[in-house]
Amino acid sequence: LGDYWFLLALLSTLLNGLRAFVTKRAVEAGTLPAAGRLIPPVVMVLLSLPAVWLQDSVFESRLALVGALLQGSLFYIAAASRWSALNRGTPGYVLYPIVQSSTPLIVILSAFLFREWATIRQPQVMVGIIMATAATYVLTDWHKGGARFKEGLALAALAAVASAGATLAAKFAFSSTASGTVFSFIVVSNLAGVMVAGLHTFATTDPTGFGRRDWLWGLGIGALNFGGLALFLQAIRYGELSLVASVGALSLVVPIVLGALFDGEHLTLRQEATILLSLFSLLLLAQG
Amino acid sequence: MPAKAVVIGCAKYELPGVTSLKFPERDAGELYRRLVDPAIGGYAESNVDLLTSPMFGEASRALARAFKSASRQDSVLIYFAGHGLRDDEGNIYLAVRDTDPDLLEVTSMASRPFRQLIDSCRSQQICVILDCCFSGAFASRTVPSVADVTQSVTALTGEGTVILTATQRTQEARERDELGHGVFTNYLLQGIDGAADADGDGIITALDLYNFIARKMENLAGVQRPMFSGSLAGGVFPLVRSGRRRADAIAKLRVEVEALRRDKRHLHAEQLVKQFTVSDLAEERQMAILRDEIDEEKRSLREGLRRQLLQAAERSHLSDGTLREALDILATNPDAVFVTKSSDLHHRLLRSYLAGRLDAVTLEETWTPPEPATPTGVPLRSVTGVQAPTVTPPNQLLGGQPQNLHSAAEPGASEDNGQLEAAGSTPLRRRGASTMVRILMWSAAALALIAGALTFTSGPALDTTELRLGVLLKREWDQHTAEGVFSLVVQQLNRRLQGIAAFNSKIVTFTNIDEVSRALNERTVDVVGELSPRDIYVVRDLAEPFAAGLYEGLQHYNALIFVPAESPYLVAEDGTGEVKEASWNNVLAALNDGSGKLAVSDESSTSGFWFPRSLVLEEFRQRQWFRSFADVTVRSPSQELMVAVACGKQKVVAGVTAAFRLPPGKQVSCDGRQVTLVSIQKSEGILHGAYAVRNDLAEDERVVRSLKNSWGNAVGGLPEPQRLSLGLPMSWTPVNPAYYEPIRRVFAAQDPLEAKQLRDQKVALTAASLILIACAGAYYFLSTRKNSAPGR
Repeated sequence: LGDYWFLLALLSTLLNGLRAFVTKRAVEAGTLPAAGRLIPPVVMVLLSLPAVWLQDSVFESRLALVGALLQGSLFYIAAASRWSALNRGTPGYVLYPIVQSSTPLIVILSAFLFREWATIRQPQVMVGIIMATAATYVLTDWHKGGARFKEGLALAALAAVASAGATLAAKFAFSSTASGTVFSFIVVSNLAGVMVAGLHTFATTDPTGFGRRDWLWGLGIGALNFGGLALFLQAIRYGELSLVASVGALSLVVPIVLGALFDGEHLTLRQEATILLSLFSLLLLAQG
Repeated sequence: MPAKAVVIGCAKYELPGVTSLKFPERDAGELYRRLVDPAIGGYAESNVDLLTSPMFGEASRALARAFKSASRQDSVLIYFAGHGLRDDEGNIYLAVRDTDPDLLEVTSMASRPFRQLIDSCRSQQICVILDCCFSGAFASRTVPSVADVTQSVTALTGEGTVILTATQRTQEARERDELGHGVFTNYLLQGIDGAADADGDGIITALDLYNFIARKMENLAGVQRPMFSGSLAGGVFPLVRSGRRRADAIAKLRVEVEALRRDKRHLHAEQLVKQFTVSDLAEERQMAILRDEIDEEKRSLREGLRRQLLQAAERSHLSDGTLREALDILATNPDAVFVTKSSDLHHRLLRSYLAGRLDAVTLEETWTPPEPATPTGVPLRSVTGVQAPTVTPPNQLLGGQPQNLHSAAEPGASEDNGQLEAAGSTPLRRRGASTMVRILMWSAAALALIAGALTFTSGPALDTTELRLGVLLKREWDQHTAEGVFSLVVQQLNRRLQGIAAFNSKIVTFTNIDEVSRALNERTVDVVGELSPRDIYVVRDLAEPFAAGLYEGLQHYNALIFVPAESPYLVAEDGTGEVKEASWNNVLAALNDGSGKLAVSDESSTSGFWFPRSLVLEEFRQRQWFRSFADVTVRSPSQELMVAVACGKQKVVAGVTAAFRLPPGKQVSCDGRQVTLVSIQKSEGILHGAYAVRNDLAEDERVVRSLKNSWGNAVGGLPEPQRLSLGLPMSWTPVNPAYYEPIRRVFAAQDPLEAKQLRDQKVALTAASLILIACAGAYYFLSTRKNSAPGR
């Protein structure tokens, strides 16, 4: 699979983007937020458990176990931080650029922690990473300022660091273990996620009960999430984390494209520019 | 609100020249009866003066008393039925019993002093109804006609002065025997009885009455056409109630409001309550309670909506602009309804919320009033700027062009991302600029993609002497290490090769080992940068098996060869220090046929490995390499030359014997799997020697355990590792292949202890998952029940 890291990363990105699109549809259909936050990790755990029993190993080292716990916890801490920042009135144009800085943070840390500097220094790769990062920033609406600029900065920074930390933990944990342990990794990661997300959900929303529709949406989102995470883990196992993370950052383009294709949504100039930047960056990153 | 009324019906006239009438007193009486009826007029009897055929002084005093005693909160109703007389200038005089036609100014109620009384009155709700000839002249001289004031009406105030007259200024009013009343008053009374309550709200206003009477008297329009003057705002204040209908109207309102509240359509409910015209304090209190309840629910809904918007932004990439816009409106506009200036995507998101939780109601500032209509036959509410209670479905409002309800105060919003183009409101100049940018952008993209495709097909420009070693080797290795056996090692190699490729473009391609040797010896490859001599060895060692086709026919293999930098096998026999083909062949020969030519002493190969030994050993432990020992070919002509070749099918079978002390020229064959065990450490002809020499792996408990379990009984027990000395002189004897049977069994089968541990891990993981999910579900279930418990 070493030669196919890009394909794995691309498929993971597409699945994650598709998940975002489906999530949006779920929101439109009135799916409860609590359902959307809690059911997918539960679904991922339930999907992975049978596969765990078919593998020859669960966790081959404590490092992998700790890494999985860290990954799951940090991932949901990042999500909760973003949510809290929004809930405190932090403007999106302040929050998201900071959150998106997790990608360059991952690239920089990968250069040192995983000795990927040799890869990153290749001109085409460096340009590709920069373009992929830029694509996420172009989509951010910068045109208006606000009085609450400083609010939530710490939470946004925490979200960025936690997000980067989750990815790095996954790399640490999963690159030193057999590929079949991906299912154990997903189980542990999402168990941590269920705990964090569950506590956060109960603390911030009023449960009103899940309906069958909520379960169906959650099942679909969880399945897509499962596929996206499994492929992402395999991609970072065989590929350079800096490259895979940069490809993964482009998942936000997918719902835009899907919205235009299937919902007849109008593409703004900013969105078109993002799509183009993403294509260019993918072209360059593929050569890494 | 106290109401005062003066009802005058003058049928008898004493002086010559003024004939008596039949029905004015009856008209006044009937009206009086309705006014003081609690279910209709609700006027206190003490506040209503009924004057039948009064003298001038009596009537004047009653009028003056009513107007002057009225406070600002009072309403005043004046009704007169009798003769209306005109002077030469067209001024009208209301004649009473002792009116002298020759002395109209002092014996009748002239319009001028009457207007002065009205002007001086503090009441904000004055209604004058005149059923007499030429009565239209009174209205036209007193207040502007309806045509003059319609355009100026901007709101529902329910205040002002209205005059309802039986005729135009030149027409005569009539009474008919068959009706028993004056024509005008006949219909006036019918209207008060409920016929004029066209909208069914139980409230009858002067305009309601006028609309009804005018419609009834259409066939008399050429002879007697009633007239309405005054402000429309004044025309809508309640005049009388229609008792039964009033109760029905309130009940109906309640039902409608409750239904709207159940549907979370609070803005409409609020609008209905706001439009409902109250007729007394009790009703006002009822409406206030309703408004408070709606306000409270609105606040709750707005907070819920705000949370849901944030969640939508978090989970579905709702754009920052739309989110901010919606939140701004929620924060600043108490009647916030959502704004749809954004693209269709955001539009639909918002619509989904609105459809379920709040109605999409246009804000008043953007509502365009319909064309003013003539009072007759047109619902008055539509003229006064208040929307009719008909609810516009949200999908009608939101399904068409997005409505820019909010952006008027935000000019910058139209410049953000072309979203207004979706709303069709982008100026043409901006639309053209965007198109140009798009064309340029996509053209550049097409060119870049073509260039990129060409780059892919042609490959990077390389010097002719530079070959693509890295690509070839990487592909070979990745292809054959799908199981990730040597993933760490391969990754390091790949990184190194990529580094070489990135910085120096010194990528060499080996198709066979001869090319490698030639390239290195002839210096056609400029080895610079991070490519060390050890890299060369690694490259050679990696390339050789493939180039030589040693592993053809094997279904699966992994190979790793570590050659020390100063390995004697790679040292030229001529002593020049150059690596030559012949020396590599020495390696091959030593590996494959054990010819004994490799007389290697331990002292001759002391350099380390390119890959850290600790890393390799850790890798071995992680991968459980010893599991399939039977399928392993171990070639170890020297303790410093470590070769691991794994053969197998679906599963990785890999093994390694590292740093075996191997006396030169000794070898042992092991048949059965197309593999050859070249040599293995032995001591005194028994296998515990293998254990002894592998002191670097002795710390691996699993190895020790396996060896003990399998070999211990066979060979009479293994000594403790510490007791064994690596430097002991050893005598070498051929090994009986039967010794390997226990090893084969051990490594072919799964270690029972390991299997148990694995099973325990799986059980623990599954149990933890199910318990946690069950706890989360239970907590959630309890929370749900708690929240849905009925309140007291």
